[in-house]
Amino acid sequence: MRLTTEMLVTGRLVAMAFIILHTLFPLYWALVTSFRHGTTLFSTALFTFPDLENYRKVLGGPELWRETFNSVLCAGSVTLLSLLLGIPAAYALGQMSFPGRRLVLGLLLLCSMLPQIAILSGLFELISAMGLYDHVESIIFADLFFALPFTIWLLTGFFRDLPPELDDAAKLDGCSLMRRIFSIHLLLVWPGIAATGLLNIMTCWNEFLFALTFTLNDSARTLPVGIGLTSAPGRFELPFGTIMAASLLATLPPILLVLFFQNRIASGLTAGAVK
Amino acid sequence: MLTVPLSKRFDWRPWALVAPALIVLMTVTAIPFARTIWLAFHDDPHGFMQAQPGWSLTNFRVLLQDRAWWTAVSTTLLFAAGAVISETCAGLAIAMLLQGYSLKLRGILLAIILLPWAVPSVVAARLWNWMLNDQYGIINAMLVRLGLLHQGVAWITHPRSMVAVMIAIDFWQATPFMALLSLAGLQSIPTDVFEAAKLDGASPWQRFISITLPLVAPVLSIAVLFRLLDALRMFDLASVLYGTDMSGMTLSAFVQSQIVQFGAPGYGAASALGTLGIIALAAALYGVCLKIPGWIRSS
Amino acid sequence: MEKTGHEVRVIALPSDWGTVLPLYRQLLSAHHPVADVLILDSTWIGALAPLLLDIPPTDDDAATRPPPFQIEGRQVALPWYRDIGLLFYRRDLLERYHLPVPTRWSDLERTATLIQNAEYQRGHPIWGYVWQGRTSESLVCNALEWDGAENPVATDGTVRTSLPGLQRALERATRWVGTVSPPGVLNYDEENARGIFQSGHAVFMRNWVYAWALANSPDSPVSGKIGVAPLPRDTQDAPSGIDGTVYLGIPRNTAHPAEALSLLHYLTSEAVERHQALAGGYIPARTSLLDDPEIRSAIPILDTIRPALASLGLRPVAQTGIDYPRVSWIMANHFKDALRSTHPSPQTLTSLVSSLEQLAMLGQWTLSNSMIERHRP
Repeated sequence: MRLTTEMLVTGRLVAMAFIILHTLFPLYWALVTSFRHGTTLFSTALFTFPDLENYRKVLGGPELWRETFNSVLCAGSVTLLSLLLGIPAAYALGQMSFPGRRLVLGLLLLCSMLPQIAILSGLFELISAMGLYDHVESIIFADLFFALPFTIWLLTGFFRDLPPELDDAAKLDGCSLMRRIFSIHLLLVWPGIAATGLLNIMTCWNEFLFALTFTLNDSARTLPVGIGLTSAPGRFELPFGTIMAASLLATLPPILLVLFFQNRIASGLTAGAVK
Repeated sequence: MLTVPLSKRFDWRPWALVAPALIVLMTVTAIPFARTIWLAFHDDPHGFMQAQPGWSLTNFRVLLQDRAWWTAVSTTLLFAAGAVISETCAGLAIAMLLQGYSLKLRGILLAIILLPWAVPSVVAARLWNWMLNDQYGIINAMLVRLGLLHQGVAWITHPRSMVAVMIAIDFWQATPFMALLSLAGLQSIPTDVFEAAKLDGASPWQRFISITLPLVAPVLSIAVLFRLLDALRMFDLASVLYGTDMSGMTLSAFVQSQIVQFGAPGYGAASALGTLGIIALAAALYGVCLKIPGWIRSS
Repeated sequence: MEKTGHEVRVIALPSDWGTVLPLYRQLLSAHHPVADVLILDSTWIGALAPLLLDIPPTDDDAATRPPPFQIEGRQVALPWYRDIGLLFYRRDLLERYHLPVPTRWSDLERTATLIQNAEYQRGHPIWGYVWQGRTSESLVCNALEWDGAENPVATDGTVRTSLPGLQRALERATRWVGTVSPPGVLNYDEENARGIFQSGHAVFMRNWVYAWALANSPDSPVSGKIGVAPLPRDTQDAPSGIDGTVYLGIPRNTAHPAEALSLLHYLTSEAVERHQALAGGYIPARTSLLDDPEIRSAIPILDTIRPALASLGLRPVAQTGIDYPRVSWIMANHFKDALRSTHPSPQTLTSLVSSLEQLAMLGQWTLSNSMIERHRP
């Protein structure tokens, strides 16, 4: 039997519909659950009327705000720091040729392949010794471990794609090195920097292992740790409704980033693997 | 080149640009890593007492006999294999589906498909755990409603199904990544190759095997390597779903609980190095697997 | 503290008690003391003992049950208030079928099955018994209770090689899963169990004292319909319910040992324990207070659970000391293996014994005092 074009189109449509359903249904279910409390929580009806009680509860307490503040502080600082440190390094690695360049690149690749737990014991001691234990600063410091190599590696690729003639021309015009980086190249690799920054923000926002290991007190927690550790707060009902409300609120920023900057993020991810 | 005379002298400028980043990176990587190695080779099973002086292999000797450790090894390998294989196949399939749509529609679909990738793993674990609840979970309810089940199943109690649940959640989260990279690979294939093959009367399957796959392979193999390394260090799902249950512990969860829960940084460090070894082995094995088709063709 | 004029700053514990032990480890091994008196769960004391100050014995020590916590002959913590595993039941259902509160595990199983079947006939499906099967400290408590606390580690620290009682208990509980208990019970912690019981979906529940007030709160569907009793036991002399007493102790690195000690004695004094009992419903550790009429009327369940309080079902914390968190982890995981019947109970227990022996061989259970001295900051 030959496949007709019509069947092929229908098949494609069905497959795509299934993929979208598989993608979105869990998120939809989280939304439904977050509207429910009390005994309705245990209902398996697929629809519900929006009831913001759980959100009021979650937003009314100080925990979520504090955790959000910590998460924002963390993701923001790590991204900023790694861009500040990473841009000059990536420029050197992508635009200049110098002995030892390959060595540095190899080292960076090695660093980015090292799993977090390989340095966990040592980092734990280092952070305790620095007095950062149970402070948000400890997470910022620790997150540089993966954010920095990733940033440099990705940006090096973007810098390398720029034509070298540009640099030579600017050099002849007597532009200093710093001016060349900041007034010429930065403008040109702007999309790359945006992609790198976005990916860094998302990774830090979602990071769990370091945040869990280096903080213990409620006051230093980030959102994922708060959500991961929430058990029933001694209230009457199982807290799934409030957990889902908090989870969705925590997921909102990365989801918005993906929806608005889908192209940038996609190009960053692809560049990370292909370059 | 314009800079011939300059190249004779040592050029300090690139190093000045690289130095700040390298110094910070060394502080967060090299110092802790060196410390990890030191801890691993010293007899300090509890972290409370002063370590015994001198280097020692005690931690590793204990590790080799630790049943929990070997369970974590097999859990992690099983999880990584299951997750990476299923995600790669599904990712490639989704990418090929997406290719059939117009550029604009593709962008919208891609944005939707990428959403689970943006969800924090912790949230994903909690969400799926709720959906899989034996009493009130929607998945059990649907299966019962469809007549496929008589009574709700406790999905996360048995060791094998515990790993399967982790794979399912990771599949939901990481398939978008594989789809995205497969799409990038597919787009690098010139369309006229397909047209030519079509004219030659090649079936869709033949076209897939002899054109698509070999041309996507370079990009795909790197994407798979990334995923493999990621899956082998999975921590979030195991930790949130299973806590300290040995049957659901991945290697990272094992190491973390040794350090934090049991206060044994030395033993934790030894198991971290063991984990590193296993990851390296798996990556090397993957590298060998990639070369095999080449060897077969050349011989 | 009005009496002495010293100022006391109260530091709140993290809301999740699972993170407290690692926090204490950090705080107590630091050079700068953060706290002078610590709230201690009985399971942490073993692991923290090397970092806790000796509390000199007084004549008052006999007035509490449990007695002050001793480890390696050192007294390191005083009991503050009591907690214990209890059996919660649906009084209305037991009355409907004219059944007594079970006192043996086999009775519980039979009663639960009976009510379950009868209610199912009436069109009200309900589970018989919910407990804590999640791989955690709670599972250790549950398993030891099933058997009247036949500890895998004897009080002198030796590992028992034969555990017939525990094996029978595990086999019985394995049978419960999917029959009287929901299959998901193997993932339940205290709150999951309470969720099922409190929403009216179970006849019996094992839980700690705190569940009473919550299950009887005005908005609870089972409010006023429940009762509480000591947990069943199979022999008369076996303790009923694992002891979950909360203690107070002093870190070694405190800057004010004398003041800390006086605060400790104040907090465990009769006046303060009475106030706690009347205001917060905390069960006092001082046995004399259990007869106090005012306290008995403030905590009405006190009379029914008195027999449980009199016995002490202890986990092997004191004898395994610094290794207890690991011992508990190993026990919980082996019990879990038996319960989900991936391995038969005898095989699981053999493996448990060999794991514990291996751990004991590493030589840390008997922590000599010289080691402790050396660590003093």
